[in-house]
Amino acid sequence: MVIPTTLDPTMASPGKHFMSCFVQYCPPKVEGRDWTDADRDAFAETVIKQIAEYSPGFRDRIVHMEVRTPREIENEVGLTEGNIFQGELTFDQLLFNRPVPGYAQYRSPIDGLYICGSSTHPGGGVMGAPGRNAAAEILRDLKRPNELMSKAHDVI
Amino acid sequence: MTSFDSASKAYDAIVIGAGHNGLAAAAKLGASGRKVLVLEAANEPGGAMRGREFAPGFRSAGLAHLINRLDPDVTRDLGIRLTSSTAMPTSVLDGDKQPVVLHGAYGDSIDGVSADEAAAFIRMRDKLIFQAGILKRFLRRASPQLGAIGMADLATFASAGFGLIRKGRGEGRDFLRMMLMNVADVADEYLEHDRLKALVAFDATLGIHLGPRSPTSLLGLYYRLTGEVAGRAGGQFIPEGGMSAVAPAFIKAAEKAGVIIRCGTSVGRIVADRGRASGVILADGQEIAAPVIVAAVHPQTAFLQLVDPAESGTGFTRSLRNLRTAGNVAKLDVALDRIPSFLNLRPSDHAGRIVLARSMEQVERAFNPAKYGEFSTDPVMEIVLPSLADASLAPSGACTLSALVQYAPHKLKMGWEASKPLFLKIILDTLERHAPGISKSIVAAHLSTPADIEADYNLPGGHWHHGELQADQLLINRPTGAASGYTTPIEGLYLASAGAHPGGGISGLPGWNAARHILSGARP
Ligand SMILES: Cc1cc2nc3c(=O)[nH]c(=O)nc-3n(C[C@H](O)[C@H](O)[C@H](O)COP(=O)(O)OP(=O)(O)OC[C@H]3O[C@@H](n4cnc5c(N)ncnc54)[C@H](O)[C@@H]3O)c2cc1C
Repeated sequence: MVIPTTLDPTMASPGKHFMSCFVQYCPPKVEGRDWTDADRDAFAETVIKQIAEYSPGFRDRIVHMEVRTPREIENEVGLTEGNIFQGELTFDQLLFNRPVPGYAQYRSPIDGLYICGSSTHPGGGVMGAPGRNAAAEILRDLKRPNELMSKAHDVI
Repeated sequence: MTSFDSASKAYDAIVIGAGHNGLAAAAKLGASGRKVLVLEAANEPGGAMRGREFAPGFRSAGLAHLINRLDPDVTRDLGIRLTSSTAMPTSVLDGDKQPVVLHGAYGDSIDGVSADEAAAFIRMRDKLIFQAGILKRFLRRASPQLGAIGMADLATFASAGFGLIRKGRGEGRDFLRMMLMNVADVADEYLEHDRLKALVAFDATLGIHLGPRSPTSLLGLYYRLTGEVAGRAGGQFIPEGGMSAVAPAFIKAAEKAGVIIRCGTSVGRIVADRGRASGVILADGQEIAAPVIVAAVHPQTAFLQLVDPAESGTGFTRSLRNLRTAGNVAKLDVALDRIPSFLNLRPSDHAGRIVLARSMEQVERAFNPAKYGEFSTDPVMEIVLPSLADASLAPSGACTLSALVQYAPHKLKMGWEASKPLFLKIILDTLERHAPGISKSIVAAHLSTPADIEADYNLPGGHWHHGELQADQLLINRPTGAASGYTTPIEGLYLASAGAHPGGGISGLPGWNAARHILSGARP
């Protein structure tokens, strides 16, 4: 849980706050079937109840709430199965195996089409590295120098 | 004490522990002309293959009930002959449908599944055997030492690399992708059939504290497939004369090499001074000297019980204390007044290996409670009927049944004392479901939990491999970095049990490798 308005009060009207929760574990299917609105709301209720145990009165302070299960995440931003890393970060899908063996160099089977999401090496998180690495590979293919590239974190 | 002890200076080497690895090490050292003494705490040699009468007239041949990884180089070199003329099928039962029966070496032909499914299984098997073959190159020698990679290591790496690309880049890629996967994801990639998936899930995790979906669980299946029988990977057998014939074969090889074996002789201390071992002190206080001490016992026994911690160092003893070595398998011996009949199973297949596992999910769910110190309430198990191969184990007409039951964690939250009767009942009920009527023919049932195995076999944790066989306790980390090449921080003291590279099971490799390493004169 983080409360970003403690750092940036402009995110909410004066005196109000914004809070964001990441909740483990929330599979893309519920007992093998798709999520329903009722499942989502029930899951939200479980989470609120648990937070309220640690923070009495929490429930009464909620002005507005949005809940995104993997279903909503997939629908809204197109992440397959709502996986926030665009694919598990397990050894069989890391390094030279990311996203799949044979295509770990940001190039795809189609000439001129490159991939640079979190599904590519080195993976997910707000990091910029897959994009920067991909850009370096594109420059290499174009036979352009890459000394002028800035560091990923300078861009972000 | 007897006369040879007074001339004790005459020993070139003392081996502690007469398990098959201790005996293999002793035989190899003896054959090179060294004068070797083996000291065994129990009243008989054989280690985990030490048999016992568990009910009047009924004998168990020990913990291990079949062979699948006895190394052909070891047996050839030591002149051990253990063979069987009959192939041993594996039948997977769910207590309901027709059994799935794998014939030949790990499913050359399969009854009870469609031709397509059998072909898919063979494709998966062949791929895994190819990959296991790459890893196998590292088993027959000491694991490479970081910072001291020698020519022979480079040759092994090169041949592994060559083996990998020989079949083309695709195979190499697949190996690097799959190596650390879990067995469940691999099974899902290739297979549809519940019980075939259940079998590979069971075989990958037997004896290891992992469920099929735990990361790296495929390593357990690779390990099984590095074993071979009659030149075929993935086979299994019970030798002529049964498992009771295995320990005597190792004993004979050792004695032929002039080795002296003393049983009922517990070692109390390994004498070490300023980093050099020079002998042992027995539990009764007698001291025997030798320049080479081979500890073919659990590494924790060697370094937490027998060696003064001041000699081996705090960091080293701490790393051994952190060794994960809690057993997961219970051993059941049952005396039956007749040969049992498993549902829908052909009589001839009763002489094979019988695995009770419905699905991969059952194996996974059986693992769940073990994570929290509880036993499985719906356990999976591997069964053989030992008296079919060795009639001397039971009175005529009667039969013995041996089962390895998973999961039974060493440290049970409720304590085994209190829980054992319930676990036994659950296991016997499971047997009854798969072999209706078997309960009525039970004369006696004897269950050994890992806690019992620990006490009865001098085996810390009661663990199959003398320490988890997982990525962090393999190769250069087996049992721990500073003792991974059979040498230890103490000069003249070597490790040679299943706790050393390459690990457990009746293979003879840790003992034989250790002896070869000692004979090569290599320094740590
Ligand atoms: C329940 C169970 C079932 C198994 N089933 C199979 C199977 O079906 N097939 C298979 O291949 N493998 C099986 N295994 C694995 C296999 O039995 C072991 O990996 C193997 O026995 C290890 O051999 P070892 O010689 O290294 O050690 P051990 O066989 O454990 O021998 C060590 C010896 O050292 C002695 N000792 C200990 N302390 C001292 C001391 N202070 N002084 C003197 N002596 C001492 C012990 O008494 C023992 O005899 C099974 C293991 C278990 C636990």
